[in-house]
Amino acid sequence: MKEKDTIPASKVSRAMRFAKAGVKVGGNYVKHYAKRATGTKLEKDDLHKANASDLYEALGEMKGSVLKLAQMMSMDQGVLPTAYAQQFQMAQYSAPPLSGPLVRKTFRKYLGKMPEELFDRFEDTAIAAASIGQVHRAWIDDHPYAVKIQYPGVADSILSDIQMAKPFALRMLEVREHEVKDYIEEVTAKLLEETDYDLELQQSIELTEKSSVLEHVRFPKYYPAYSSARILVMDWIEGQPFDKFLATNPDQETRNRVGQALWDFYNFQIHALRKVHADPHPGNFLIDDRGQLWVIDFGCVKAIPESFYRSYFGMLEDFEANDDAGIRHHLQQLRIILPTDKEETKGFLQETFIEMAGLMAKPMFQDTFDFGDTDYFAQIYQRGEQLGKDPTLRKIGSGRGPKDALYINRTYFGLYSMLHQLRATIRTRDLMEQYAAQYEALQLG
Amino acid sequence: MDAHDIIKAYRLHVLEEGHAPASVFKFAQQLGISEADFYQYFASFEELERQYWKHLIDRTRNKVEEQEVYQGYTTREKLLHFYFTLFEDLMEERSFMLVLLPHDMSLENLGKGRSMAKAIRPYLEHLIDEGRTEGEVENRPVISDRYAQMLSLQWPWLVGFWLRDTSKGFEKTDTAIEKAVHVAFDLMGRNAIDSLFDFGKFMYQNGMRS
Repeated sequence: MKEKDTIPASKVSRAMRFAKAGVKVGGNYVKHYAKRATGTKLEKDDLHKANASDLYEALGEMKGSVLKLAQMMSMDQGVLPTAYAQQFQMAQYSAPPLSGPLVRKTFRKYLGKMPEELFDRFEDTAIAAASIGQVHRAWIDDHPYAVKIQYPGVADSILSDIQMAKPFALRMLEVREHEVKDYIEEVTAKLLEETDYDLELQQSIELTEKSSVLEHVRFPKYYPAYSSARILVMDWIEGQPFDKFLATNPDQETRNRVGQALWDFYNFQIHALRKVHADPHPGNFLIDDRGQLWVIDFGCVKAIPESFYRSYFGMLEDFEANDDAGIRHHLQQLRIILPTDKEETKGFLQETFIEMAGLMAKPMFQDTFDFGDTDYFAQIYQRGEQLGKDPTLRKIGSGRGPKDALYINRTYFGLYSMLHQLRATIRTRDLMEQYAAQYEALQLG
Repeated sequence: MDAHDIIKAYRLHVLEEGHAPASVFKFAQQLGISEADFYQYFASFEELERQYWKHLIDRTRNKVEEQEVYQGYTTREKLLHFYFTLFEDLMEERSFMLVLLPHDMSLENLGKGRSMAKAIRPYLEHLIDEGRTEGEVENRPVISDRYAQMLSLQWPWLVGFWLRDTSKGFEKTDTAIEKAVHVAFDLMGRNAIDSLFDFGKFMYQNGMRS
């Protein structure tokens, strides 16, 4: 693998990249409105497409937190126009690798040993790049290991990168800064957590141990003795990435099994562990030749506060019972409806919310659900678009609701999107009771 | 007392006093040698410092050149490996350098930088020769003779960066090294400019028909 030729080096040149993209995006708007003024019919989607590819061009030459922020936004397809989402998904797979000498230096610095002192064989060239690090293969005897090495200075550059990326993110989402302040803080905190491999190791071990009861879900073993703040060592897993797996045209039974494993993995954590792997993008999974789902990255873990859990998932029961008062109560607890709102605003918000959340929660009210149902996803998307343009809603402003919802929503978006790609039919509602019982058991145990 | 001992004494003086000795006379007096003894080895403090740099660079160079892994590297990787090792070795020298060097290695401060740059030149000449044979470094009229000289200016700049670096474990310096070396080798290797020249030449030779 050849190291990427030009890496924007200093903060200034990074800023320049963004500035360049900003000028181009601005230009696209000018073109858009000029064409509209001259009566040429131009779809808004074209504008988004042009903007997205200009931004992507800038982002593609960067790495670290910006890539991660892009990745995060590309997950949230309900928020992001499709054109942006597609461009950003490409950004998930590009970052220039560290040189061999720097890899060795990192080993010496953090483990006090050279790679060949720890392993019988160590591949100098990275086999894969992650957004904040890269993966090397190594062996002891014949046992293969995956060695994840973090780029130096990632944590340092996150804050300044977010400061620079923020205006663009705000512009794309068309929101004001004070409305989303809490969310940006939450994302920043989570991004910083992801740079702490000590924490990731501890989370990986904890969550994999507790999740070992799940069927068809497998985890690599982690090795604390070979790991440190910048290096994380786990078993090398032989398996296919999600998209390659899909390309093999697996039969319905296999797709259902993998889909069920995904559903179980997430819902078990959310409802029984109250702590969830909040990064459901396809790159974090492998599927082996026996159709088992391997989870290979625990960088992003969201702990779910009890009070949030009760209000958020309490609404599921309200929905089933058609309990409007209960829904109002929970919406107020979540601060989606504020005490200062006018009565009609409250009513409007509640109606809108019931409709959208009811749609999102639909799979949970049925014993089995077919995620291959294209109509269902089209409905979600259309409704989301409409709401995004709704003048009443825009006037009320976004930035309502707890920041805890951000990663939980994102988790479900990601999960749904993967299940949709799998076209899997899976058991949903009847498992809820099982999770509740598991939660009780874990609390007692 | 030989050259090495005098350098050591000079370093100690700077570390303990927080500044360089006022004059060669005073310094020699402190050491209990005559001024003439000092001049036998060094013409000035500046020359002494240059030898100090040379000593540091030779030490790291000898160390890495003995390593098997270094021998297997490309020229670009060799320089990276050399710098990473050098900056690790420099950890012992950090306090001394903080006193001795201006923290800002910009153009105005090139005086000190020049003697550092001179000290690393022989090693860089050697690397670039090797890069030429390996095809990693492109021969270009006029400028290719000055590659080593240009490359040697990165070194005082990197030291300045390192002295100002406040990141944990000087991680930013690692990144600076990585990026600086990549830029240099990307410029020295065959790149778009060469193709452009080549194309221009072709056009010219073919009567600029288009």
